[in-house]
Amino acid sequence: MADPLITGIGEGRPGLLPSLGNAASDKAKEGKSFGETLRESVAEVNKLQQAAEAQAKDLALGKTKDVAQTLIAIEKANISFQLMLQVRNKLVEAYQEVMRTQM
Amino acid sequence: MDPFSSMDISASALSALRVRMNVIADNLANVDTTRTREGGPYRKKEVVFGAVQDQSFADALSGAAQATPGVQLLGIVQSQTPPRRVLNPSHPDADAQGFVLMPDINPLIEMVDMLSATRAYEANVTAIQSWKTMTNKALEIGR
Repeated sequence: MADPLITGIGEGRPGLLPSLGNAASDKAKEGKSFGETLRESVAEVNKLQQAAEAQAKDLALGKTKDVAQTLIAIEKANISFQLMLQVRNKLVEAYQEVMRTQM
Repeated sequence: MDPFSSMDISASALSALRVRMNVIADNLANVDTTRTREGGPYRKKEVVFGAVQDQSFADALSGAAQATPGVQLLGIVQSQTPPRRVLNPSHPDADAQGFVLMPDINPLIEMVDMLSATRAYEANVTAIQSWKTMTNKALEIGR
């Protein structure tokens, strides 16, 4: 008695596995791993944070008098940091989910 | 597309309106100024704003980086309206007939301009805040 669902899994759906195989070869073509992408985004966030700090320092020292531009730099840094934090939260969540997997 | 382009557009407006506010304050401060370096009374100043140009066809073809749209200050021009002639013989700058050339500045108009500049500034700040709210809402999707 062959359950259609189980046989479906056993054989592998024709559409599903080849697509996974393609993804692996695409990765080599793009040449950028997930870790690299992550590192680049963290560097980008860091750059915005440093720009915001420089602007705040300039304002405090009286080098610039545009309060709005300073606050906008700070807000950019803040929002990009929030985005990074969300990505980190998701990563940790996924890691913990994997660690909870029953063997 | 830069994720912060919306913020940059509003930021350009904030900077431009700050200049506009400075010019209005200058006009109000010099409402009775009769001596300037160029000679004659103070001339009313006006700001000229220009939209940051859209990408031209040639730029798009050569793949040049697209500038963030927004507003830019093209210059501050002096108004060409003739100065008012006011009869005030006791004024040190009065001519032989006792007339003094005074700047053609109407404080009422300047006040209204100032109000509109303030409101425009507020509108742009509100646009930035709305964009922030939208982005923060988008970040809540993952929460």
